[in-house]
Amino acid sequence: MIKRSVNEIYHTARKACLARGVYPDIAEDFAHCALWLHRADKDGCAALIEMLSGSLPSCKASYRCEETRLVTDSLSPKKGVISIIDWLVSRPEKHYVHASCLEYPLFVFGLLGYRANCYKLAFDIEMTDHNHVMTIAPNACDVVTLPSFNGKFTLSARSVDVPTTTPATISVFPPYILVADALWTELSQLAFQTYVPPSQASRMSGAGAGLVDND
Amino acid sequence: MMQMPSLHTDMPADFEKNRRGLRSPDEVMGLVRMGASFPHRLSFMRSFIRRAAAQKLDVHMPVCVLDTQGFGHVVLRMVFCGHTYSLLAFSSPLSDEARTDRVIATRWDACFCLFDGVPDRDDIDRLRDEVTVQESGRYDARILILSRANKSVRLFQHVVDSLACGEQPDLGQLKQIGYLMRTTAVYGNGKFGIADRDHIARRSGLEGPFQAEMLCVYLIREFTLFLVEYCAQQKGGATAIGLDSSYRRYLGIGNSTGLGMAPFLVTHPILLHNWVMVRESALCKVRQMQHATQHHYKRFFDLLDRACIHCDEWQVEDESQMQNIVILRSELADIKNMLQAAPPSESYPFDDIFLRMQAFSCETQELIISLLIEIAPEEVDVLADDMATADEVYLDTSMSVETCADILSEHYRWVESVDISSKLADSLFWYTSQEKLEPRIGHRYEEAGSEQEMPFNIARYVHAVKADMQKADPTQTMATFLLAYPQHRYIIRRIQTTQLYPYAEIRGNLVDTKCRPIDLLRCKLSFFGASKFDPKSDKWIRITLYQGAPTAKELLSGDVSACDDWLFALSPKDRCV
Repeated sequence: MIKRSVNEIYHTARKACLARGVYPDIAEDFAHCALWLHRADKDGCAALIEMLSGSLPSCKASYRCEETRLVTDSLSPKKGVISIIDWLVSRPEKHYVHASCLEYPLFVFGLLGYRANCYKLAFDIEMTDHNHVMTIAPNACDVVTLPSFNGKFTLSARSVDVPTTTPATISVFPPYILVADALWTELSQLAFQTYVPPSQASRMSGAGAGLVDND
Repeated sequence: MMQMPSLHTDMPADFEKNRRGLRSPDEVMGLVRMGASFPHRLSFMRSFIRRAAAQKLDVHMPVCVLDTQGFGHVVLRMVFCGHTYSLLAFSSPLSDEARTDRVIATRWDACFCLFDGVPDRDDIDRLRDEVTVQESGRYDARILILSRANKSVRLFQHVVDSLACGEQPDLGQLKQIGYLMRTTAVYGNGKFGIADRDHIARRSGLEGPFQAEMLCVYLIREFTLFLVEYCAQQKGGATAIGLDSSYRRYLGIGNSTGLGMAPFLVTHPILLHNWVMVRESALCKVRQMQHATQHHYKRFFDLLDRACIHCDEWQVEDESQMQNIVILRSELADIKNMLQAAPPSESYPFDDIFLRMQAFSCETQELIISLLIEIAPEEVDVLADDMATADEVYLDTSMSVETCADILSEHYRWVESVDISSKLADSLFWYTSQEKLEPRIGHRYEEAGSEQEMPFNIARYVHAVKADMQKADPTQTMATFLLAYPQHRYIIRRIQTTQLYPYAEIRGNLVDTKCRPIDLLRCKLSFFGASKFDPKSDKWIRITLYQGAPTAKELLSGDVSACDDWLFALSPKDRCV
């Protein structure tokens, strides 16, 4: 395990997402999600790596939208979850999302947790076949036990009163976050794909100065 | 559900129509004007020095382990606003052939870190191994800043030799270079494991933008002054003398600034808005002064005289910049004559001066603005507190397509003049090189790598989203629009940001073949407080920080006023005569 600063994790996570074809703005949200999970004592980097592995994420959702209802087969970070959450947040207490299944639940909870802080909302997840509602509220870092998600559910949002002294985002992190070496290597290798291989030409003219610099 | 900004609500927001109102973003955020920026009293170094003077900053050197050549390590310590900080400085031999200011360098004349507190011997030993390899080292949250610097070899050696012989150095050389060492990187905010900005952002003294960096660079300056005198002492023994106090004050810290600093202005739009808004608000306040005192007039004309001499001393090799300086010198002389022949109006005199400056070049206008801001500290200094605020702006998902299109029309007019069908309009791309993560610019149609470019092709993104918005139902929300077009989320958020933060977007094409990255660098550096901009190419600029600033000995006086008058510092009188 090695100590990493919040900024290091944010930028490495963001670049890892970019390397996997995630759009820039959405990559930022994914990186914030990873940090939010760490703040909630979950391994955000692991959740991110798991989500980025395998098939490439798609930022476009597959859905059917009626006036106040959006129906999707799967609520997934790989299938346009950001757009769906955006839609939900645009009219809290009026819009509902119905999904048949939830993929990468920890990561989705992280996204909801981050957005709950940003917009001062609470998200309610109600299992269709069970009498179970889970709530993700601002600064509620108590996503301790996760119900197993097999089946349909409804996601809704509502405004909540948050004391003005509470930061809109979780900005109070510990001085460092511990990340497993292997995970960091994997994230860094992905992030590295966003850097361009050097060439003699780029070395000479890409940055402006010469190679020896005295005055 | 946008976050509310922390704007100055007493400032008129209607740019176009209000007399003596804020200058419009279209004018202020163009690249040419950004590239004509000058430092001013709200620059970060100025804020730091004012506070340091009020604190009677006292710098000690509890550790000094240097050999006769000045190689080894030193610790400078100070208490600032109730917190103790230590600069660890490691000085090493370096051949002239190995000396480079590039990010890809692996060795330097001196390496530094700003330590939060007091390092013990184990800390120093461990940090010697890490700090001297800079980016390759690993740090923890007790390290606030990481930096390195190279000597101005010619000047450093000359000063050592002169002082060793009991003489002051040649003023001509001092004026030509202006620094003994120049930093080539100053890292903060979590890089390589050092402390995140959030950990110190609420700490007294460090709330302002880049205050930890300013503090670190100030201590580095003190180190360079100490080192040159130490080396002279070692060489000359009893014959050696110290630097004259006016020479000490004149010597700043150089800085070699490349592309790395430029992306910050694009990736931190709200912070950029706040900086610019504060400067423009300061100008606005001075323009709105209905009457001026004799003190204000005298101050303005004294500063104008000083600026004229400062510009006479400003020499660079870059032909284009030198041409601008020559024009600036000539125009400043014209302005002096003009204001003598036709003094400012009695009513709103500084607005009168400001309006008359519109006939002159951009550089002249921006220099005069720095002078105007300087003369009324009682009006403007309080604005500095708002420069650090960087609210988060989240996507307003409920905004309609029509409203977003209106914002786009208002704040992205500059995009209309960009012919995106032309290869010249996007011939460049900004990227990070695998080679030590050095930021570089490439030529899109000649080099590989543009698929990894930083998202700076704003004009193209705006054209694309505009085309898709025109196909959409105008009453549709952004959320519904983005379900169909998630690729536009980045530019939509930028567009929405400009509604509340109009100075957030640079109003110029950063990937155009004619784009000069040094325009961005100069703008940011002017907010730092840098002077004597010396372009080495379109992508690289040398500047001097803290030139003319009081030294640590002078800060002990606690006389804030005496320590705060160093805008457009002049070279000292020749002490060799």
